[in-house]
Amino acid sequence: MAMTQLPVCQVSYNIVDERGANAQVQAYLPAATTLSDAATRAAALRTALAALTEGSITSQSITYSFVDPVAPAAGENSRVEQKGVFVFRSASTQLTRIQIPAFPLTLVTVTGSIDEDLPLVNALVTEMVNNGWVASLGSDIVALERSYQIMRTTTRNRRARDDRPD
Amino acid sequence: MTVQTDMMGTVRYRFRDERNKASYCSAYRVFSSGSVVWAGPLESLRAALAAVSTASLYAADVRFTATLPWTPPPGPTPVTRGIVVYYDNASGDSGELLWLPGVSLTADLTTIDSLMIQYFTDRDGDPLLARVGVREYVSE
Repeated sequence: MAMTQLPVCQVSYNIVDERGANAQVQAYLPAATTLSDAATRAAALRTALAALTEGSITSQSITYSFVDPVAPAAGENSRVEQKGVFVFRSASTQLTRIQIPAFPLTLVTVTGSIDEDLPLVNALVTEMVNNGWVASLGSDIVALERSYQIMRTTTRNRRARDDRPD
Repeated sequence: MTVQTDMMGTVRYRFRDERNKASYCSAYRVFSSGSVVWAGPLESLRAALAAVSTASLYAADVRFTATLPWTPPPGPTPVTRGIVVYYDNASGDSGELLWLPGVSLTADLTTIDSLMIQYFTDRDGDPLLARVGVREYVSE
């Protein structure tokens, strides 16, 4: 496998105060902790924290992280603002999309749509439709609705460093 | 109160381009309650995404988020004020700190300590041994 799991999973909570300001709390569990146990332990710590803080806990998340120590370098002239957008339909008719950064022009037709007949594109669509991926509400993805290229606005952080004022 | 994770996870694939600018691609799937390991569909989607991007797909995470029912905060203390609790770890290096916003220096930390030492670790995965300090902290 290309990906290596980091040694911990992170448990975090968002706390809001009466002014509406937010703060985050982070704690760590061994990465081998099952999802069920992590949820149980995170809930226990949340209960203990809720009993002490004068803020209100509004959300909780559990995050397992992975890195690829041998990931190939980015290609020449790759730009994360160039996105390939794939819109899928779920069994409940909900539409869900993925946006792929640095999507190459070689996979895009002259109209800006993505060439869905290309093997690499077809493999991605097959993966999303046939391998258990779901829409945000949990319904199985069943078909590709449409696909196209977009150019995301370049944010300040993505601007060239030599283009920024000192 | 039960957290409704539903085991629905967001898989976030992280990319960097030639200029080291970051972006990501998210997809959703339902996970079993067991261990979260990198295998099967997580890897096959990684391979499919890497094949159609010229950026470097260098990392990923799987996140389970639960939005909780909440009521207006019980006290006036801003979340910029609170305490930092320090724990020693088993390997004897820097240990771990736990930032607790809106918590008083006089709070009874018995339950928090018990959970942290029994189940939680520092950010390197070393078990925590004992609380070794508490101090007030103001982040504003």
